[in-house]
Amino acid sequence: MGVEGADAAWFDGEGLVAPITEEPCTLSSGTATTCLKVQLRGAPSDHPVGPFCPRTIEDTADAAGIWLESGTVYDVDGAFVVGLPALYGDPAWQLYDPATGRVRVTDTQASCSAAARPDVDPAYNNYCVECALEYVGGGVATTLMIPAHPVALAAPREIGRMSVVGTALNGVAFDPPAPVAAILAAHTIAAFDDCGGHVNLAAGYHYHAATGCSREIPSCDGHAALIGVALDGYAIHAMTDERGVEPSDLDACRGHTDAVRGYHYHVAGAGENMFLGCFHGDVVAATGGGGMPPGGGGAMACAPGQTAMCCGDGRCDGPETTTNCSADCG
Amino acid sequence: MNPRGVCALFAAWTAVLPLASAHQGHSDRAPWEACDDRALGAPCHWENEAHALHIGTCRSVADALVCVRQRPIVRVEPSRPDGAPVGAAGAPGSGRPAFTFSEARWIGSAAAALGVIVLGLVARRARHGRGLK
Repeated sequence: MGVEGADAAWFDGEGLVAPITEEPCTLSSGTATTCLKVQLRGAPSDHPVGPFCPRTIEDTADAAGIWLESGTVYDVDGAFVVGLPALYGDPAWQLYDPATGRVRVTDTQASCSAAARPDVDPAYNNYCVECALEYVGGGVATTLMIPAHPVALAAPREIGRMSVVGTALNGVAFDPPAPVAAILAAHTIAAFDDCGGHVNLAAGYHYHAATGCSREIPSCDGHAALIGVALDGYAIHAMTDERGVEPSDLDACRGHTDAVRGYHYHVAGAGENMFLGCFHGDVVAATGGGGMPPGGGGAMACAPGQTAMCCGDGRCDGPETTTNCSADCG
Repeated sequence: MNPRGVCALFAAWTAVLPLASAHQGHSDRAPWEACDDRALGAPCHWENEAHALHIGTCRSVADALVCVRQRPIVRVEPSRPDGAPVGAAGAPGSGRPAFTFSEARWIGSAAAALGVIVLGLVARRARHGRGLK
């Protein structure tokens, strides 16, 4: 079996706050081991951020980003905005002013804060939601403790409420998907840029899809390129190999084993809003259970200074009771 | 295994699965709805507007279950306006689906019945064999 575990040399140092170090850590199973301390800068080192929302219904794909919908990647151009009622079969979608053709965009920090959350402020119903990286000082630094030597589990560990599943090699976190029913019910879309990332005030810039923008390390044997590392320490590769073929023997976590790399993951397609499905290996205890909920659609996060979202009520600074937050309060 | 064989295997597999409610749906919720009535680790599938069938397993993400695709995407034939069942696409250029879902269900049922018969015969033969000793 190949050598498993991340190598600090894989990362682009420009995407990190500080060089990667090795530190003692404890996995959720209680196993004491060594971890790579990876301090993400929270902004991509190798590509620009945005654009996200178009400004008018005349805008072309170059002026906007993408939307991920049921396995399909859509350009969020003017035509997409106009076609939203048909796309979702709901005539209430109206993200633009029909008189002027201007798209309603959350182009201030206040509007971003009010709209980029699960309980969308009713004032921002029918908005294209985007937040600028400047609102978070150019990036939210995040420290990940990643096992240097992955420890396989007897049964997969669920992603559950973890807010990050791994990292790209350019200093940007891979976030898990989340149900977007509430976001769509408010007739908002939190557009991604062409690289599959967007910004929220808590997590900063993060990816929801791998579109081939971030740093890749090609494989000599034609295998899919290395693009990141999961929180359990196993490598994350692109979905397809150099011939465009996806493995057919992936497990429930979207991983498999080969003789060169050992166990590793292959990300899902960009349109699937997903990287991996669960963890084959153990993760560090501190990242395993708590933390913010996933930022699917870019909207499930709390603003700086707010209490992390309660597990039960989905609201920042919301009340935690034994009824809605038994996990926290019990 | 040749592509037709893969399609046949898939078709037989889907024949024994109830169709998820998301199967008809063009909705961003499709991967989630595909696991609405399923348990953690249960097989699941959903199809999108482009008739791409996603086959996988229900996993827990954000306090819900979502269908995580495990197999390469399967292109399926579009549903007919009369609501006739769709089928797994045949070999490229064949111009015909390998199997419709109804055919697949029939194959699955036939295979299951055949299995039961074979097992019954084996058991009967085993009992008979013991009786002769």
